[in-house]
Amino acid sequence: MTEPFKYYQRNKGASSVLVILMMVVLALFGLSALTASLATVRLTEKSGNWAGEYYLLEAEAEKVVAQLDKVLHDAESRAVGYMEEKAFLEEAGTVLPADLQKMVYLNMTEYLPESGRDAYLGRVMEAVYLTHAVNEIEKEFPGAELEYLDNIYGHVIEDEATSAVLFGLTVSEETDENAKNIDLLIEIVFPGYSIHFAGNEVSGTRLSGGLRYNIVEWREWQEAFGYSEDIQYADPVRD
Amino acid sequence: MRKFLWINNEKGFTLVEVIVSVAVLCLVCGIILRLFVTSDDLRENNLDIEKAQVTVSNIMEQLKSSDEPLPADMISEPDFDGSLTLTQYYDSKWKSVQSGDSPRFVLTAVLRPEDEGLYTEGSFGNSGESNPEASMLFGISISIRDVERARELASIVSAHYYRNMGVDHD
Repeated sequence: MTEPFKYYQRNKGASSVLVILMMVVLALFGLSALTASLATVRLTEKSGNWAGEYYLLEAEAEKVVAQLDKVLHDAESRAVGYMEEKAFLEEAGTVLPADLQKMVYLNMTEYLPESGRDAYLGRVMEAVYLTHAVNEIEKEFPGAELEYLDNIYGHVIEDEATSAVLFGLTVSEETDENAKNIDLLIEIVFPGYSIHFAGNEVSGTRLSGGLRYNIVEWREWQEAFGYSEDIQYADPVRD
Repeated sequence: MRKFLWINNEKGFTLVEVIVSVAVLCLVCGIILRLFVTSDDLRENNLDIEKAQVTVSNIMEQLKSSDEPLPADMISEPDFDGSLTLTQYYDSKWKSVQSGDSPRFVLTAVLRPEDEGLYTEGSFGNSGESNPEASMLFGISISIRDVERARELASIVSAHYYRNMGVDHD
């Protein structure tokens, strides 16, 4: 019975089998390493694309901030113009509401003592600035939301705290699926001027480091990914 | 029993058989080794791309976080259109080197004014003093090139609004 199985005990050909096995194992390792490397390359590509899109979106948000500052710069220039023209000494005007303009006129010409006029003019200038700013923002940014923290004339009518307006806008990437967005919330503030009014002459100096706005929120978010139950055998984008 | 005769064959192999089998073995080994070499090339290449991506992001964040478009020690002469260019060199291990040290990677950041900017005088009437303020939107593009392989590894484009340029912040 042992005769037919004799060849099992021979070592001839075993080296070939070992070499083939080794080759197969090495080939498997090689393929695994290659697959892992290719997967990493694709991941790196994706992360590079993601960073590129993210910075492009940030650029759009920065452009919105620049455009807003342009509007505010114009409002500041017009507020300076209001002061230079001494429009606060006129009974009627086109910038402030008629009642408020009349009140400013009366305060400056009759009611306020000289010592209180400089500080009051600072608040009037702020009201003029915010009036121009709000009007222009509504024209330039139709999609923006404006939130008034106080009546923007409150500190002119009564001695209230400095008023502020919040500007809210969402900047989105131009794509249909999983769009990236940036929520902007910007507080519009008056940069502040030190005003001096004496002998019918008015002058003012901008406060050092004064800003026309403060960025309150800069929130980046992406729409949630949806999962498909279909099995995708290939990447349609790459293929 | 006749069919097992080849096992008991003591004749060995001819030279041609040995040469052919070694050739086949070499071919198979070459293919398998090629897999490893390709995989290693891809991995090294990918490491460079990842490093380049991190580097361009770092430089972008540095540029965006500063008050001025470029720090004075990094600045180049402005181009005719007012662009500022920053160039940095790296060796193959991503250590910063000088341009004369045969760098492997070259980073180029270009800041280009997007508009004429804003300027505020900071005073009116005869106030005697002023606090001027200037702001400008710059488009920023940063890229890294592999000089040895003559190709671009990473690039990003963004913009930043520099406000209160040249103004001391309290």
